[in-house]
Amino acid sequence: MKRNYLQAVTWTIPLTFVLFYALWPLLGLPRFYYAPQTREIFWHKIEGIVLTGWYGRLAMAGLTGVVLGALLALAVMPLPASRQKTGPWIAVAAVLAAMIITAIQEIRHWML
Amino acid sequence: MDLSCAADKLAAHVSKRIISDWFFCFETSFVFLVNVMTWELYLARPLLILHALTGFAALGISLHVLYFAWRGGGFGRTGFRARARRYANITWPIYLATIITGALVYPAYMVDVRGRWLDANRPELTGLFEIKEHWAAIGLILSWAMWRYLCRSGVDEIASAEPHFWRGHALLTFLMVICIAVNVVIGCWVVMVKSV
Repeated sequence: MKRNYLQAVTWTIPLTFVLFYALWPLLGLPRFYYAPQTREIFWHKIEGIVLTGWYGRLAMAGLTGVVLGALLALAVMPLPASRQKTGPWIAVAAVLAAMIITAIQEIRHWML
Repeated sequence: MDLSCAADKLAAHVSKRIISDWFFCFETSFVFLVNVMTWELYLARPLLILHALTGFAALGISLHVLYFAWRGGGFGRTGFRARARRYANITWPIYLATIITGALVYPAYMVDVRGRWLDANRPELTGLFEIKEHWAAIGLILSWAMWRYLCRSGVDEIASAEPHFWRGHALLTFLMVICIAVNVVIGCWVVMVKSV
């Protein structure tokens, strides 16, 4: 059972992390922003100043992804190893989707 | 957004703070950690070089992990799996070091490179750099997952019994290599156009 959990977290945590990271702006969830000029952190984006939400997006996706990924691993832990074999492939699909979604977001914003 | 105006205000602010910041750093080492301005002024370029070196190292080592992980699936491939584990133990700390050095240079890039010049003159490079950031975050969690799978989950038994499971993780490792390679290429590209 413990081995099942150790196997499961290797794909559940990447799965939840990349989904939250890619979908965070689309879900309209708030995140904190860092303003390099003033070296301050703001909860909401301020117009007229260079702000970056990357730190906040990474931290928020990391926190929620790790917590929910660990819970998901607990949920699939009772399954035998043979039933978990599609898990990494689901994570592969999620990672590919996240890479495509984030790339499309930036291409639409900056290049079109 | 008037980015050039904001950047000019920052430059004036920096020139006033520069001496006091150095004295502040001598007073207590804690300030050295929290004073981002000093990092940006004096250490941006050395940190950028360190960031590039660790990035190249991460790319090379992750390619080794991918090769040995791909060859290590199935029965009787314990030698390949042992080598994959050995390289996986090094990959995620080096990749984490790359992320940390990049995050330390990031404020200087945002103001001096992107805010002053890139957004107005080469917005497509800003877009590429944004993609680089996102894929770096995705690669970071993949490097952790790859290390966790290879080194902390009794992988020898799994690889023998469940080659399908192993192949899935080898593909995750492949995506991690793609993320790192894209980061290296875009990083070099942007630095060749405009650097901190």
